[in-house]
Amino acid sequence: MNTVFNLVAICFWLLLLYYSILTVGGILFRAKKNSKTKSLEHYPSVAVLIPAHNEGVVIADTLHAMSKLEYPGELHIYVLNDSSKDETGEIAQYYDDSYAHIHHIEVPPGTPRGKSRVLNYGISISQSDYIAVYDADNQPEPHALRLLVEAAETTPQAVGAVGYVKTINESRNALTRMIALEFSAFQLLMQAGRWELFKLGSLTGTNLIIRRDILEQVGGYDSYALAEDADLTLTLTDIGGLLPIVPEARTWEQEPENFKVWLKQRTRWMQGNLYLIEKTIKNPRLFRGRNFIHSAQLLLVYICFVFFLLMSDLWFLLGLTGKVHSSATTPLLILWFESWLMYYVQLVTAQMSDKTLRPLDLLVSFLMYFSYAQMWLILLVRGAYYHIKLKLTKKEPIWDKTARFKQGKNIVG
Amino acid sequence: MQNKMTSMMIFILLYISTILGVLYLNTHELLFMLLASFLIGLFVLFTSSMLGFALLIVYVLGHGFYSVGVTWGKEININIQSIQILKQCIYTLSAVASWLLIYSINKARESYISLEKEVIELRKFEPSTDILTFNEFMERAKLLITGMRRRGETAYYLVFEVIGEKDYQKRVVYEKLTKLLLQSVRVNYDLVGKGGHNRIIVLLSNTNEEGVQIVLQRLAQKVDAEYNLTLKDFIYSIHDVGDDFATFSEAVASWKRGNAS
Repeated sequence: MNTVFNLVAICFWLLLLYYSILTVGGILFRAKKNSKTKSLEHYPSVAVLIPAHNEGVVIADTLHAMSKLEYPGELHIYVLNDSSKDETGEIAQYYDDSYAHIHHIEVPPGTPRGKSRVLNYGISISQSDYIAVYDADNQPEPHALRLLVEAAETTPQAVGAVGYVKTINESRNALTRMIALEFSAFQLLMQAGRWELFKLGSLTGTNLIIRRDILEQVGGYDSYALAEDADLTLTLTDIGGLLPIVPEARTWEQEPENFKVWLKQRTRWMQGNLYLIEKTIKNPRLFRGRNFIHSAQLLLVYICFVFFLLMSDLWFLLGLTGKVHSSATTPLLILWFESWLMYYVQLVTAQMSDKTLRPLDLLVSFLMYFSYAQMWLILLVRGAYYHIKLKLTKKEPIWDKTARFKQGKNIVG
Repeated sequence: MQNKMTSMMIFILLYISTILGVLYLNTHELLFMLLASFLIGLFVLFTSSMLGFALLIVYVLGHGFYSVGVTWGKEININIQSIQILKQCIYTLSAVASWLLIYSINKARESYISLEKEVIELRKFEPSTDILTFNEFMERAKLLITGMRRRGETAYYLVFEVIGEKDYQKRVVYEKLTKLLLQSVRVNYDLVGKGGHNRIIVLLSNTNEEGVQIVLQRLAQKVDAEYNLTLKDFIYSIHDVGDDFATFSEAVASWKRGNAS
């Protein structure tokens, strides 16, 4: 039993070591002064795709931000209206009438429902060198798209580029603040670290561009994937493509303001990642080359880490009830403290690299290990339940759309 | 107020970590703590705050892994573990305080440089010569040129560049030349401004080629009368202002960057 415990602890610490190395890699990447993109002589054409299903609450702000995009090349923005029942169509049509480069497109009904199918339709109706994807609640900064294209065009072997997603409603409540901190640490800092150390980038679902020819070569998005971004990342890495990270290309996104909405959104992400793990295990190709890090990380985070967590919880419970007597000599208090410290350091480092270090965020980061981070287990159980249920019933995946918020109230699509 | 609070916090952090170090660390540990904090501070001072932060993170995380490594497999009671954690906190606190101290100094220095730059940009006249700063020259030129175009008048600009082998010689010639130029042009209609290093731009409004020559003759006379200054100490070129302010602005900016010389 002790051997098992020690083995679990060693694996857990290896995972922490990996994330610590990424943290340092991330900060080194951000510290570089020459990481800025270079301007181009010729800017390729770009089609911005915005999948929209009942986005009436946010779409006007999104399109307003889109109309302010400053891109020196040919630019077309497509609102892909997926059978919206609210005023999404009306607002999109108004922008279509007002701006020559904004187009309102009605996506024909079809299955499986969800973002991937809508994006594939968008790819089929547009003609451009690059495809850019933005969620319907996104407000990119004016230079974001230009910076992404410059990075993609000037990085050898690049098939696209990925920007940074910031939280627009960060100060709304403790949950949104925690999500913002999580994004800055595990999206920006870790992404930057992976790029700095392994030349690996991951698509984040929004604020990204991909070369059209490459997308067509790999067959577009997997319509059954709920985490379509992670899925496409593996496919693109598999063909040797690079996805540079551009932290200066920022978009502002709305995040869930209450636990219920957050739980639904994250369960969908978890389901998507479980689908991807299944796909990865079935396909040994996805463990080769640079994809090994992507796939190994997926397995470590979603399978091994949870196994370690369950084991330690079980050990703790059995010890409490006297069912098992541990003769393990591992200093548990020190282990626990170091785990917390490393998590805290990662969050603080992310804020520092984002130049947004604030006393309140330091306090929230301090508490996140005991609250937000512990939700991981609930998410995994929930995600696994729905994933297995879907497999047993042989139904198509349901795209559980994230509810949007306006003035503190959520409106479910 | 915020700066004062930050300074106070850093000051308190430094003292707390040192006092705790004296109380709980042995001599070797205390020396290590002070040396590590000093080196981190020194590194930030000579590189950048972000690179220094990377070193700080390596130090803090490295300490964590070291703690796990040395205690792994050992029978340590909860009290000893607590003391071990406390010692690590003291090391971390001291390093963070040291980094924060140099970081805040760097920030203050950056802010000072940036403010100084802003002040220079906001200045209307170059202090040593009383000619217009480049930004002020452009602001006034915009008003003059726009008005002249509306009235259908023509204008010229002259670019003077001081030549010479030694910098100290050029400085003297530059100052004499600016003084003479200010005396040679019409105070209320023409502009004399700084156009880059050792370069002066003169805008002659509502004038023609004949008017330009009159100004140049006047300048030549004043140069002759000036002690130890000749026409060979500088070169000049004459340019038409062009159709609009944008063309003029682009050309003058090019001179300022030194591309057109």
